[in-house]
Amino acid sequence: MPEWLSGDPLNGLVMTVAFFISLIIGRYLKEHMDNLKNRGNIIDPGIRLILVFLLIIAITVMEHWYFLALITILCIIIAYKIRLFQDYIKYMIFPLAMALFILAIQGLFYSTNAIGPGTIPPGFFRLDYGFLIFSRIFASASVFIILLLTTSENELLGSLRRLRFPATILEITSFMSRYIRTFSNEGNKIRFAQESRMGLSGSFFKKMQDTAMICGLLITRTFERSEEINRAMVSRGWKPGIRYSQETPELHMSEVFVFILLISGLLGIVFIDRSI
Amino acid sequence: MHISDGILEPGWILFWFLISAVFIALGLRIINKRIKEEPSYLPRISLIGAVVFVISVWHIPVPMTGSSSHPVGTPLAAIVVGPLAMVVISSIALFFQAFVAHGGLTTLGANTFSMSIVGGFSGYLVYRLFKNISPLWFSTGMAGFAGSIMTYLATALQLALSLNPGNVIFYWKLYSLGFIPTQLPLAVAEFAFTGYVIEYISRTKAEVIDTGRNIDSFTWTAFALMILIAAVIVAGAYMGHISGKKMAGTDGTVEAYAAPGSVSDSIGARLMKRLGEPLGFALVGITGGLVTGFYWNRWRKN
Repeated sequence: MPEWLSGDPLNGLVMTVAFFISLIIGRYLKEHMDNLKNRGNIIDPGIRLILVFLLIIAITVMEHWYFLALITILCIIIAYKIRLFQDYIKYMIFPLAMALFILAIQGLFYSTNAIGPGTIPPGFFRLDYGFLIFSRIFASASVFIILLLTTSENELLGSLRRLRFPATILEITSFMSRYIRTFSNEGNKIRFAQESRMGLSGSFFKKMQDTAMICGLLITRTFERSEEINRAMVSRGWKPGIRYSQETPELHMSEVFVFILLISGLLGIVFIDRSI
Repeated sequence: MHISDGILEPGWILFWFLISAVFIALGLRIINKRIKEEPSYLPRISLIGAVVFVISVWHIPVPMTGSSSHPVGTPLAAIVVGPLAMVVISSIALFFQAFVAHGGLTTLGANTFSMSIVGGFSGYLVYRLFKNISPLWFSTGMAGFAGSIMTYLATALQLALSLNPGNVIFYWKLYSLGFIPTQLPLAVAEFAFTGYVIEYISRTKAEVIDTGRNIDSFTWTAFALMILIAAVIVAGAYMGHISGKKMAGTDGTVEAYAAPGSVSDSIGARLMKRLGEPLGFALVGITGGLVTGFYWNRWRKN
């Protein structure tokens, strides 16, 4: 008998069993994703939201930048594959500014206790902590941006209903989501009209007066509009405290399975990261 | 300044969510009560929330820098709809702002705390303080200025608490100083912006502005006491810090004088060890406050 076959079988067994079970799961997952793709939804938005939340929490406890870089690269590949890379870059600007600010503070001032000239050199040696935070922000923002790019506002609002958020919050959220675009367009129209009449120019106070006039106008208009909306709602049978159907689409066993699988993967990454 | 995902430690994420949830629950209670009395309040507050969101993502000119930036907007909303209702609508606005990558999902609680609770409440308090002794544009402008500055101080504190728990005061100062070059001019802009907007509203539709009559003297006294005691603690700690003391805190001093050498193994002490001191003390404060508030009227009658 060759030595590689007659020796300790544990590693070989573990690898074989793990490979074939993963093979079966992988094939099943592909079939499941194809089925759901035909229905227009790969994972339920509610599950997606919880998963992203947990993944971001997991990222904040990771201690090695290369795992975080791996997550970021994966997100960039996904953004590129779904042809939304430019949007990804656009959304990344604000988190990047925040990440650079923290990198500068943590990297340049770590372990110092005084603010002033001469404090930079000793802290410079702890750039690694700043870089870790920087990587965490980058990875978390990437994950969240992928959620935003692949899930519509309405889907996320629907998932909040499923997660049993208070009805008043959901009603206010639905109204806000509907009217944000309306008021934004209205505000822009007034702004263009003002600009064409030589408004929004001149000194700081003049510009501020003009901007404030638009905002004040929008706020006062909401009062008249809300009265009209209320009348329309009442004429359709709405009254305070009315509760709409709480029926939500049932969760498929396969979705629960995918959720458990992804959570296990998440815990696995955190475990490996913390044990290195 | 919105805190992005990935910055705060899980313990702090939970802590800020809990604190914000208390204020949101109180705000929801007020909103539900108003909707029962006046059904048109639901679309009204929602539409004001939408406008506040639109305004808070608009660029306003910033003096000295020559650039433009977003106003915080919460002091303005607090003056229009009242501070507690404002917490609810601005937390929803923050949720929507996360859709344009301003802020994040796990930091929603922390951002609600700094922008809505600290920024909104401090702005509203300043407005109420100056309201009867100065012109409207000044009291509301000061509300905008104070709200903006307090928001950034709170954000800096949140960053220092989570990222540098061993040296909070130093890093709080550092983050605050880091924010100054961009945020001080923005606070000046917020002063002019809030002042002008409220002045315009008062000229065209004065009844819109929240008069704050629903806040009774008990609440005001409690707020004033809270600010006074917090200010004394902060000032004491700062003086201790600059004179190079050990920063043992009030609890450490009390332990040293009242029970020197004692080793406690009670449930409270064990819980505190497990949860971390800030969470443990917050829990103690919430429980004590709730019980005292609940029985206040009965004790007063006796």
